Amino acid sequence: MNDIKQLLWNGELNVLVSIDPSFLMKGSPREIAVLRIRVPRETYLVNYMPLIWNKIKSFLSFDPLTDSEKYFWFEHNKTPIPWNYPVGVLFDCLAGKSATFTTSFENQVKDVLTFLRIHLVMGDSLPPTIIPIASSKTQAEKFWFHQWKQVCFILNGSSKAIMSLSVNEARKFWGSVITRNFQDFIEISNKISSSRPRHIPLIIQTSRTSGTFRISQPTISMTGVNPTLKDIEGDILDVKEGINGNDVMVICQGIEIPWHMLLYDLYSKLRSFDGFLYITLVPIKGGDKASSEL
Amino acid sequence: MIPYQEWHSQLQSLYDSQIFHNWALCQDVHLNDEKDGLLLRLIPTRQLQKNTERIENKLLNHIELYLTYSKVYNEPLLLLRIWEEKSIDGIPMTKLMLPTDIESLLDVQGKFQLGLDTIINLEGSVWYSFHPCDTSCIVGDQAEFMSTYLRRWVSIFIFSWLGYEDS
Repeated sequence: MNDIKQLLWNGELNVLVSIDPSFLMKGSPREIAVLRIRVPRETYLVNYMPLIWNKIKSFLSFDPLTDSEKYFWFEHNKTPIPWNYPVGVLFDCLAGKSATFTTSFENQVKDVLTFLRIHLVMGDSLPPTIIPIASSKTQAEKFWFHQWKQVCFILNGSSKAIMSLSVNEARKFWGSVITRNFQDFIEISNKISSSRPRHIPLIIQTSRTSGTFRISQPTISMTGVNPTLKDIEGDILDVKEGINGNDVMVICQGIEIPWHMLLYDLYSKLRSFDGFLYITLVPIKGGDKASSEL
Repeated sequence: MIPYQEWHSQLQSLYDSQIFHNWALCQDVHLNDEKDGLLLRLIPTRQLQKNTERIENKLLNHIELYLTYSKVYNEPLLLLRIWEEKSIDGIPMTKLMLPTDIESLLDVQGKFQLGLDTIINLEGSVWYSFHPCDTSCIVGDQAEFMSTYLRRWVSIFIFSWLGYEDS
Protein backbone atom coordinates (compact mmCIF):
# COMPACT_ATOMS: atom_id res chain seq x y z
CA MET A 1 0.00 0.00 0.00
CA ASN A 2 2.92 2.30 0.73
CA ASP A 3 3.87 2.10 -2.97
CA ILE A 4 0.56 3.77 -3.87
CA LYS A 5 1.02 6.34 -1.12
CA GLN A 6 4.54 7.08 -2.31
CA LEU A 7 3.32 7.58 -5.88
CA LEU A 8 0.74 10.06 -4.61
CA TRP A 9 3.30 11.77 -2.38
CA ASN A 10 5.64 12.21 -5.35
CA GLY A 11 2.89 13.45 -7.67
CA GLU A 12 3.50 17.00 -8.90
CA LEU A 13 1.69 19.61 -10.94
CA ASN A 14 2.97 22.36 -13.16
CA VAL A 15 1.80 25.60 -11.68
CA LEU A 16 2.00 28.94 -13.40
CA VAL A 17 1.74 31.76 -10.89
CA SER A 18 1.18 35.23 -12.24
CA ILE A 19 1.49 38.21 -9.95
CA ASP A 20 -1.01 41.01 -10.29
CA PRO A 21 0.72 44.19 -11.56
CA SER A 22 -0.63 46.09 -8.53
CA PHE A 23 2.04 44.37 -6.42
CA LEU A 24 4.88 45.80 -8.47
CA MET A 25 6.44 49.18 -9.04
CA LYS A 26 5.91 50.76 -12.42
CA GLY A 27 8.61 49.73 -14.87
CA SER A 28 9.25 46.34 -13.25
CA PRO A 29 10.40 43.72 -15.76
CA ARG A 30 7.45 41.73 -17.11
CA GLU A 31 9.12 38.38 -16.52
CA ILE A 32 9.25 39.06 -12.79
CA ALA A 33 5.46 38.75 -12.65
CA VAL A 34 5.39 35.12 -13.78
CA LEU A 35 6.64 32.05 -11.96
CA ARG A 36 6.61 28.52 -13.35
CA ILE A 37 7.00 25.97 -10.59
CA ARG A 38 6.43 22.26 -10.02
CA VAL A 39 4.35 21.80 -6.93
CA PRO A 40 3.54 18.52 -5.16
CA ARG A 41 -0.17 17.65 -5.19
CA GLU A 42 0.19 17.03 -1.47
CA THR A 43 0.99 20.49 -0.16
CA TYR A 44 -0.59 23.95 0.12
CA LEU A 45 -0.11 26.71 -2.43
CA VAL A 46 0.63 29.09 0.41
CA ASN A 47 3.82 27.14 1.22
CA TYR A 48 5.24 28.77 -1.92
CA MET A 49 4.65 32.32 -0.70
CA PRO A 50 8.22 32.74 0.65
CA LEU A 51 9.51 31.80 -2.84
CA ILE A 52 7.08 34.23 -4.47
CA TRP A 53 7.85 37.11 -2.09
CA ASN A 54 11.55 36.45 -2.53
CA LYS A 55 11.29 36.64 -6.30
CA ILE A 56 9.42 39.93 -6.36
CA LYS A 57 10.74 41.62 -3.20
CA SER A 58 13.00 44.04 -5.05
CA PHE A 59 10.10 45.24 -7.18
CA LEU A 60 7.28 45.41 -4.63
CA SER A 61 5.37 48.66 -4.45
CA PHE A 62 4.69 48.16 -0.71
CA ASP A 63 5.82 46.02 2.22
CA PRO A 64 3.49 43.00 2.45
CA LEU A 65 4.78 42.09 5.91
CA THR A 66 3.72 45.35 7.53
CA ASP A 67 0.78 46.54 5.45
CA SER A 68 -2.26 45.38 7.45
CA GLU A 69 -4.69 47.17 5.12
CA LYS A 70 -4.10 44.80 2.23
CA TYR A 71 -5.27 41.22 1.83
CA PHE A 72 -3.79 38.66 -0.56
CA TRP A 73 -5.35 35.62 -2.19
CA PHE A 74 -5.14 33.39 -5.25
CA GLU A 75 -7.55 33.35 -8.18
CA HIS A 76 -8.09 31.09 -11.14
CA ASN A 77 -9.92 32.67 -14.09
CA LYS A 78 -10.90 35.57 -11.80
CA THR A 79 -12.51 33.18 -9.30
CA PRO A 80 -10.95 33.18 -5.81
CA ILE A 81 -9.44 29.82 -4.87
CA PRO A 82 -8.76 28.78 -1.29
CA TRP A 83 -5.19 27.98 -0.27
CA ASN A 84 -6.33 25.75 2.56
CA TYR A 85 -7.02 22.72 0.36
CA PRO A 86 -4.28 20.44 -1.00
CA VAL A 87 -3.02 21.63 -4.38
CA GLY A 88 -4.07 18.35 -6.02
CA VAL A 89 -7.60 18.74 -4.67
CA LEU A 90 -7.85 22.25 -6.11
CA PHE A 91 -6.60 20.94 -9.43
CA ASP A 92 -9.11 18.06 -9.49
CA CYS A 93 -11.95 20.50 -8.97
CA LEU A 94 -10.74 23.06 -11.49
CA ALA A 95 -9.84 20.35 -14.01
CA GLY A 96 -13.56 19.85 -14.67
CA LYS A 97 -13.06 22.73 -17.05
CA SER A 98 -9.76 21.41 -18.35
CA ALA A 99 -9.73 23.58 -21.45
CA THR A 100 -8.88 26.53 -19.26
CA PHE A 101 -5.59 24.93 -18.25
CA THR A 102 -3.98 24.79 -21.64
CA THR A 103 -2.87 27.52 -23.96
CA SER A 104 -3.77 27.42 -27.62
CA PHE A 105 -0.13 26.71 -28.43
CA GLU A 106 0.05 23.87 -25.98
CA ASN A 107 -3.10 22.39 -27.47
CA GLN A 108 -1.27 22.07 -30.76
CA VAL A 109 1.54 19.89 -29.45
CA LYS A 110 1.06 16.16 -29.08
CA ASP A 111 1.91 15.85 -25.39
CA VAL A 112 -0.16 18.60 -23.92
CA LEU A 113 1.59 20.24 -21.02
CA THR A 114 -1.01 21.06 -18.43
CA PHE A 115 -0.62 24.01 -16.13
CA LEU A 116 -2.62 25.00 -13.12
CA ARG A 117 -2.79 28.74 -13.73
CA ILE A 118 -3.19 30.88 -10.66
CA HIS A 119 -3.08 34.59 -10.16
CA LEU A 120 -1.92 36.26 -6.96
CA VAL A 121 -4.08 39.29 -6.27
CA MET A 122 -4.70 41.76 -3.47
CA GLY A 123 -7.46 44.03 -2.26
CA ASP A 124 -8.70 46.12 0.65
CA SER A 125 -11.30 43.49 1.50
CA LEU A 126 -11.49 39.77 0.97
CA PRO A 127 -13.82 37.49 -0.96
CA PRO A 128 -16.09 36.12 1.79
CA THR A 129 -14.99 32.49 1.56
CA ILE A 130 -11.25 33.04 1.46
CA ILE A 131 -8.80 32.84 4.34
CA PRO A 132 -6.27 35.59 3.64
CA ILE A 133 -2.64 34.70 3.00
CA ALA A 134 -0.84 35.94 6.11
CA SER A 135 2.75 37.05 6.47
CA SER A 136 3.12 34.54 9.32
CA LYS A 137 5.31 31.58 8.42
CA THR A 138 3.29 29.30 10.69
CA GLN A 139 -0.11 29.99 9.13
CA ALA A 140 -0.21 26.83 7.02
CA GLU A 141 1.33 24.65 9.73
CA LYS A 142 -1.26 25.74 12.32
CA PHE A 143 -4.14 25.21 9.92
CA TRP A 144 -2.82 21.79 8.85
CA PHE A 145 -2.31 20.62 12.43
CA HIS A 146 -5.86 21.67 13.24
CA GLN A 147 -7.04 19.56 10.28
CA TRP A 148 -5.16 16.56 11.66
CA LYS A 149 -6.76 17.12 15.10
CA GLN A 150 -10.16 16.87 13.44
CA VAL A 151 -9.07 13.80 11.51
CA CYS A 152 -7.80 12.15 14.68
CA PHE A 153 -11.11 12.87 16.40
CA ILE A 154 -13.18 11.58 13.48
CA LEU A 155 -11.14 8.37 13.22
CA ASN A 156 -10.66 7.58 16.89
CA GLY A 157 -13.30 9.53 18.82
CA SER A 158 -10.64 11.51 20.66
CA SER A 159 -7.63 13.73 19.92
CA LYS A 160 -5.43 11.66 22.23
CA ALA A 161 -3.27 10.13 19.48
CA ILE A 162 -2.27 13.48 18.00
CA MET A 163 -2.00 15.25 21.34
CA SER A 164 0.38 12.50 22.50
CA LEU A 165 2.91 13.39 19.82
CA SER A 166 6.05 14.92 21.31
CA VAL A 167 7.08 18.43 20.27
CA ASN A 168 9.84 16.88 18.17
CA GLU A 169 7.43 14.50 16.46
CA ALA A 170 4.99 17.34 15.71
CA ARG A 171 7.83 19.35 14.20
CA LYS A 172 9.05 16.35 12.24
CA PHE A 173 5.51 15.77 10.94
CA TRP A 174 5.14 19.25 9.43
CA GLY A 175 8.83 19.17 8.44
CA SER A 176 8.12 16.05 6.37
CA VAL A 177 5.61 18.06 4.29
CA ILE A 178 8.07 20.86 3.68
CA THR A 179 11.13 18.70 3.01
CA ARG A 180 9.06 16.01 1.21
CA ASN A 181 10.26 13.26 3.54
CA PHE A 182 7.84 10.40 2.84
CA GLN A 183 9.19 8.02 5.50
CA ASP A 184 8.80 10.58 8.29
CA PHE A 185 5.31 11.46 7.09
CA ILE A 186 4.16 7.82 7.05
CA GLU A 187 5.78 7.08 10.40
CA ILE A 188 3.93 9.86 12.21
CA SER A 189 0.64 9.78 10.32
CA ASN A 190 0.40 6.05 11.14
CA LYS A 191 0.48 6.94 14.85
CA ILE A 192 -2.68 8.99 14.38
CA SER A 193 -4.47 6.61 12.04
CA SER A 194 -6.65 3.69 12.99
CA SER A 195 -7.16 0.32 11.32
CA ARG A 196 -10.71 0.27 12.75
CA PRO A 197 -11.93 3.85 12.38
CA ARG A 198 -15.22 5.03 13.90
CA HIS A 199 -15.85 7.39 11.00
CA ILE A 200 -14.05 8.37 7.80
CA PRO A 201 -12.81 11.97 7.44
CA LEU A 202 -14.39 12.81 4.11
CA ILE A 203 -14.79 16.05 2.20
CA ILE A 204 -16.84 16.24 -0.99
CA GLN A 205 -16.34 19.08 -3.42
CA THR A 206 -18.35 19.86 -6.48
CA SER A 207 -17.42 22.47 -9.04
CA ARG A 208 -20.24 24.63 -10.34
CA THR A 209 -20.45 26.41 -13.64
CA SER A 210 -20.29 29.70 -11.73
CA GLY A 211 -16.71 28.72 -10.85
CA THR A 212 -17.50 28.30 -7.16
CA PHE A 213 -17.01 25.12 -5.14
CA ARG A 214 -19.73 23.45 -3.16
CA ILE A 215 -18.21 21.70 -0.17
CA SER A 216 -19.81 19.15 2.13
CA GLN A 217 -18.43 17.06 4.96
CA PRO A 218 -20.72 14.09 5.60
CA THR A 219 -20.34 11.92 8.69
CA ILE A 220 -19.87 8.33 7.54
CA SER A 221 -20.05 5.77 10.33
CA MET A 222 -17.80 2.72 10.00
CA THR A 223 -18.99 0.92 13.12
CA GLY A 224 -19.65 -2.67 12.08
CA VAL A 225 -19.83 -1.82 8.38
CA ASN A 226 -17.47 -1.44 5.44
CA PRO A 227 -19.51 0.45 2.82
CA THR A 228 -18.73 0.96 -0.84
CA LEU A 229 -19.10 4.41 -2.38
CA LYS A 230 -22.39 3.19 -3.88
CA ASP A 231 -23.67 2.36 -0.38
CA ILE A 232 -23.12 5.97 0.71
CA GLU A 233 -24.18 7.56 -2.58
CA GLY A 234 -26.85 9.57 -0.76
CA ASP A 235 -24.21 11.14 1.49
CA ILE A 236 -21.88 11.91 -1.40
CA LEU A 237 -24.41 13.42 -3.79
CA ASP A 238 -26.47 16.46 -2.96
CA VAL A 239 -30.02 15.20 -3.42
CA LYS A 240 -31.36 18.73 -2.95
CA GLU A 241 -29.65 19.73 -6.18
CA GLY A 242 -31.12 16.72 -7.98
CA ILE A 243 -27.76 15.17 -8.88
CA ASN A 244 -27.60 11.42 -9.34
CA GLY A 245 -24.64 9.10 -9.70
CA ASN A 246 -25.01 8.82 -13.48
CA ASP A 247 -24.35 12.54 -13.91
CA VAL A 248 -20.96 12.70 -12.22
CA MET A 249 -17.55 11.09 -12.16
CA VAL A 250 -16.00 10.45 -8.77
CA ILE A 251 -12.43 11.76 -8.80
CA CYS A 252 -9.92 11.26 -6.04
CA GLN A 253 -6.23 12.17 -6.32
CA GLY A 254 -6.76 12.82 -10.02
CA ILE A 255 -8.07 9.26 -10.57
CA GLU A 256 -11.58 8.23 -11.60
CA ILE A 257 -12.92 5.97 -8.86
CA PRO A 258 -15.54 3.24 -9.49
CA TRP A 259 -18.65 3.35 -7.30
CA HIS A 260 -18.06 -0.22 -6.08
CA MET A 261 -14.79 0.77 -4.34
CA LEU A 262 -14.77 0.22 -0.57
CA LEU A 263 -14.62 3.50 1.31
CA TYR A 264 -12.03 2.33 3.81
CA ASP A 265 -9.73 1.04 1.04
CA LEU A 266 -10.08 4.34 -0.72
CA TYR A 267 -9.32 6.24 2.48
CA SER A 268 -6.29 4.22 3.43
CA LYS A 269 -4.76 4.45 -0.05
CA LEU A 270 -5.77 7.86 -1.33
CA ARG A 271 -6.21 10.18 1.64
CA SER A 272 -4.53 13.57 1.41
CA PHE A 273 -1.63 14.91 3.42
CA ASP A 274 -4.03 16.63 5.86
CA GLY A 275 -5.64 13.28 6.71
CA PHE A 276 -8.92 13.90 4.85
CA LEU A 277 -10.18 11.91 1.89
CA TYR A 278 -11.25 14.41 -0.78
CA ILE A 279 -13.76 13.32 -3.38
CA THR A 280 -14.38 15.61 -6.30
CA LEU A 281 -17.56 15.24 -8.31
CA VAL A 282 -16.96 16.15 -11.91
CA PRO A 283 -19.94 16.51 -14.24
CA ILE A 284 -20.02 13.98 -17.06
CA LYS A 285 -20.39 15.84 -20.31
CA GLY A 286 -23.88 15.22 -21.66
CA GLY A 287 -25.17 14.00 -18.27
CA ASP A 288 -28.82 14.88 -17.67
CA LYS A 289 -28.23 17.28 -14.81
CA ALA A 290 -24.54 17.83 -15.13
CA SER A 291 -24.54 20.56 -17.69
CA SER A 292 -27.44 22.53 -16.29
CA GLU A 293 -27.00 22.32 -12.54
CA LEU A 294 -23.38 21.77 -11.59
CA MET B 1 -19.38 15.83 24.74
CA ILE B 2 -23.05 16.62 24.27
CA PRO B 3 -25.36 14.82 21.83
CA TYR B 4 -26.77 17.04 19.10
CA GLN B 5 -30.42 16.81 20.20
CA GLU B 6 -29.50 17.66 23.79
CA TRP B 7 -27.41 20.63 22.60
CA HIS B 8 -30.28 21.82 20.41
CA SER B 9 -32.75 21.72 23.26
CA GLN B 10 -30.33 23.45 25.69
CA LEU B 11 -29.67 26.18 23.11
CA GLN B 12 -33.40 26.86 22.85
CA SER B 13 -33.66 26.99 26.68
CA LEU B 14 -30.73 29.37 26.87
CA TYR B 15 -32.33 31.63 24.28
CA ASP B 16 -35.67 31.52 26.11
CA SER B 17 -33.95 32.36 29.41
CA GLN B 18 -33.20 35.88 28.02
CA ILE B 19 -29.66 35.63 29.37
CA PHE B 20 -28.29 37.10 26.13
CA HIS B 21 -31.08 39.66 25.72
CA ASN B 22 -30.26 40.99 29.19
CA TRP B 23 -26.50 41.14 28.60
CA ALA B 24 -25.26 44.72 28.60
CA LEU B 25 -22.94 44.09 25.63
CA CYS B 26 -25.59 42.45 23.49
CA GLN B 27 -27.15 44.52 20.71
CA ASP B 28 -28.92 41.73 18.89
CA VAL B 29 -29.76 38.05 19.37
CA HIS B 30 -30.96 35.84 16.56
CA LEU B 31 -31.76 32.15 16.86
CA ASN B 32 -31.27 30.50 13.48
CA ASP B 33 -32.90 27.09 13.59
CA GLU B 34 -32.17 26.29 9.95
CA LYS B 35 -28.45 26.90 10.37
CA ASP B 36 -28.27 25.34 13.81
CA GLY B 37 -26.98 28.38 15.60
CA LEU B 38 -27.44 31.49 17.66
CA LEU B 39 -26.00 34.76 16.40
CA LEU B 40 -25.03 37.51 18.84
CA ARG B 41 -24.01 41.04 17.91
CA LEU B 42 -22.04 42.68 20.70
CA ILE B 43 -20.58 46.08 21.40
CA PRO B 44 -16.88 45.77 22.19
CA THR B 45 -15.69 45.94 25.78
CA ARG B 46 -13.41 48.83 26.74
CA GLN B 47 -10.49 46.43 27.12
CA LEU B 48 -11.06 44.98 23.66
CA GLN B 49 -11.29 48.45 22.17
CA LYS B 50 -8.01 49.40 23.86
CA ASN B 51 -6.28 46.23 22.64
CA THR B 52 -7.45 46.88 19.09
CA GLU B 53 -6.15 50.43 19.15
CA ARG B 54 -2.82 49.31 20.63
CA ILE B 55 -2.22 46.21 18.48
CA GLU B 56 -3.95 47.05 15.21
CA ASN B 57 -4.30 50.82 15.41
CA LYS B 58 -7.96 50.44 14.50
CA LEU B 59 -11.34 51.19 16.01
CA LEU B 60 -13.70 48.29 16.71
CA ASN B 61 -17.33 48.63 15.69
CA HIS B 62 -18.86 45.35 16.86
CA ILE B 63 -18.24 41.68 17.53
CA GLU B 64 -20.23 38.79 16.13
CA LEU B 65 -20.43 35.50 17.98
CA TYR B 66 -22.04 32.46 16.44
CA LEU B 67 -22.88 29.61 18.80
CA THR B 68 -23.22 26.41 16.82
CA TYR B 69 -22.52 22.68 17.03
CA SER B 70 -19.56 20.69 15.78
CA LYS B 71 -20.65 17.34 14.41
CA VAL B 72 -16.99 16.33 14.26
CA TYR B 73 -16.37 16.81 17.97
CA ASN B 74 -19.98 16.52 19.19
CA GLU B 75 -19.40 19.71 21.12
CA PRO B 76 -20.70 23.28 21.10
CA LEU B 77 -18.62 25.41 18.76
CA LEU B 78 -17.99 29.13 19.14
CA LEU B 79 -17.28 31.22 16.04
CA LEU B 80 -16.21 34.85 16.11
CA ARG B 81 -15.84 37.77 13.74
CA ILE B 82 -14.82 41.31 14.58
CA TRP B 83 -15.65 44.41 12.57
CA GLU B 84 -13.73 47.65 12.48
CA GLU B 85 -15.18 51.12 12.00
CA LYS B 86 -13.79 53.02 9.05
CA SER B 87 -14.47 56.14 7.16
CA ILE B 88 -13.77 56.32 3.46
CA ASP B 89 -14.22 59.71 1.79
CA GLY B 90 -16.25 60.75 4.82
CA ILE B 91 -18.61 57.79 4.50
CA PRO B 92 -18.71 55.65 7.64
CA MET B 93 -18.52 51.91 7.06
CA THR B 94 -17.68 48.67 8.81
CA LYS B 95 -15.09 46.20 7.59
CA LEU B 96 -14.24 42.66 8.62
CA MET B 97 -10.97 42.51 10.56
CA LEU B 98 -8.72 39.46 10.34
CA PRO B 99 -5.78 40.12 12.67
CA THR B 100 -3.03 37.50 12.70
CA ASP B 101 -2.74 37.41 16.49
CA ILE B 102 -6.41 37.29 17.44
CA GLU B 103 -5.66 35.61 20.79
CA SER B 104 -3.65 38.63 22.01
CA LEU B 105 -6.29 41.02 20.79
CA LEU B 106 -9.00 39.16 22.71
CA ASP B 107 -6.63 38.62 25.64
CA VAL B 108 -7.29 34.87 25.71
CA GLN B 109 -3.73 33.61 25.19
CA GLY B 110 -3.22 30.30 26.96
CA LYS B 111 -6.96 29.98 27.63
CA PHE B 112 -8.33 29.20 24.19
CA GLN B 113 -6.88 28.31 20.80
CA LEU B 114 -8.38 30.12 17.83
CA GLY B 115 -7.90 29.61 14.14
CA LEU B 116 -9.36 30.98 10.92
CA ASP B 117 -11.61 28.56 9.16
CA THR B 118 -14.20 28.47 6.40
CA ILE B 119 -17.53 27.26 7.79
CA ILE B 120 -19.39 24.91 5.48
CA ASN B 121 -22.81 25.49 7.11
CA LEU B 122 -22.45 29.26 6.75
CA GLU B 123 -21.91 29.34 2.98
CA GLY B 124 -18.18 28.80 3.43
CA SER B 125 -17.71 32.18 5.11
CA VAL B 126 -14.54 32.87 7.10
CA TRP B 127 -14.72 32.93 10.92
CA TYR B 128 -12.33 32.48 13.80
CA SER B 129 -13.25 29.27 15.56
CA PHE B 130 -12.48 28.42 19.18
CA HIS B 131 -10.97 24.97 18.81
CA PRO B 132 -13.39 22.63 20.58
CA CYS B 133 -11.26 19.50 21.02
CA ASP B 134 -10.68 20.01 24.78
CA THR B 135 -14.21 21.20 25.53
CA SER B 136 -15.36 18.29 27.67
CA CYS B 137 -12.22 18.57 29.84
CA ILE B 138 -12.79 22.30 30.27
CA VAL B 139 -16.54 22.14 30.86
CA GLY B 140 -16.77 18.74 32.56
CA ASP B 141 -19.09 16.13 31.10
CA GLN B 142 -20.33 14.06 34.02
CA ALA B 143 -23.74 12.68 33.15
CA GLU B 144 -25.50 14.04 36.27
CA PHE B 145 -24.63 17.62 35.25
CA MET B 146 -25.49 17.20 31.55
CA SER B 147 -28.59 19.42 31.81
CA THR B 148 -26.38 22.48 32.45
CA TYR B 149 -23.63 21.61 29.93
CA LEU B 150 -24.34 24.45 27.51
CA ARG B 151 -24.87 27.02 30.26
CA ARG B 152 -21.45 26.12 31.73
CA TRP B 153 -19.91 26.20 28.27
CA VAL B 154 -21.29 29.71 27.68
CA SER B 155 -19.93 30.88 31.05
CA ILE B 156 -16.43 29.65 30.18
CA PHE B 157 -16.19 30.20 26.43
CA ILE B 158 -17.98 33.59 26.35
CA PHE B 159 -18.55 35.31 29.69
CA SER B 160 -15.16 34.40 31.18
CA TRP B 161 -13.34 36.73 28.78
CA LEU B 162 -16.08 39.22 27.81
CA GLY B 163 -17.61 39.60 31.27
CA TYR B 164 -21.31 39.60 32.08
CA GLU B 165 -23.32 42.49 33.36
CA ASP B 166 -27.09 42.92 33.10
CA SER B 167 -28.26 45.73 30.85
